[in-house]
Amino acid sequence: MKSTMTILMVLVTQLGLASNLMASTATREDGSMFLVWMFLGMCALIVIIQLMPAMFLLFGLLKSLFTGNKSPVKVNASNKE
Amino acid sequence: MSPKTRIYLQPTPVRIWHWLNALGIITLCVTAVQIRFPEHVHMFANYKTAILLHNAAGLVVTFSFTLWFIYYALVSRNMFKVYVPSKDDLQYGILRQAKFYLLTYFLGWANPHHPTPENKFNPMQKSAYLAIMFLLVPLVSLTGLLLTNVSPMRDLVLLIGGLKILIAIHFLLACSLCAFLFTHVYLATLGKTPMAYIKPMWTGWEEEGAEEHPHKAS
Repeated sequence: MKSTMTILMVLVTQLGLASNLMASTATREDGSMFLVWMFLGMCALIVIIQLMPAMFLLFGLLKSLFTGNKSPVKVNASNKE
Repeated sequence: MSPKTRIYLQPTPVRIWHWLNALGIITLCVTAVQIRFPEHVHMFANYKTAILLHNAAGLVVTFSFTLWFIYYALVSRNMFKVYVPSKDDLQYGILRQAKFYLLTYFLGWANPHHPTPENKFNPMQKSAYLAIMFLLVPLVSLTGLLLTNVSPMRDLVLLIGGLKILIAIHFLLACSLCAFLFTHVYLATLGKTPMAYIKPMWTGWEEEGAEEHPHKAS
């Protein structure tokens, strides 16, 4: 009984120490990289927003290239109803 | 009423460089305060966060500077014309522009400089940007890169005079850059409206007459 109690005490103490270790690790990894990623995200946002007009222009050019240039339909005098 | 004429003044690579630079330099200044005075300033969770953010912003500014250099030197190939003041600029232009900023602006006169894609900057801007882009930014980036990782360039650090001298040089150069930032923002608001010069830097297009005085009698 005494030995079981001793083992339990050691286990509880070890768990206590381990939880401390985990808590300290979590605190260290928490905020440091988050702000860096947020900053890099804002940089990426600037690049994307600035490239948007050029992308729209490119998309429009490609669209007109693949759909073909549709010239306005001429109405013949003979076709008039 | 005549239609408003617009000129395409700021191409996309220049706009990307400018806003990355703006965000980067502001982040560098804010984080630098905590790095320099850690016992008094606690803006970020800890010292390590400030260092990491400072390093990331420094790398972004260095990268955007490279983008700016490649664009002007290899793509548009007008770096010399845009950034180097001419003989006329040095003889008369700087004085004319200084007179405008110090006196005639307050009397309601129009800006003597009219920007074009080939001549974007007034003589004072040219002189200031020449020093900033070809001296200040490269030196502050180089000293910053040396401070980020000292061991690979240990000999160069020792040649400069050691870590303390390197930190002092980096700090003084950064202070000059920070001082320029306030002047830059103030002068950017002196157009026809406070946003008249800031909007083209975001959209690329400047409306003709943006340099007119805000209180000009119509």
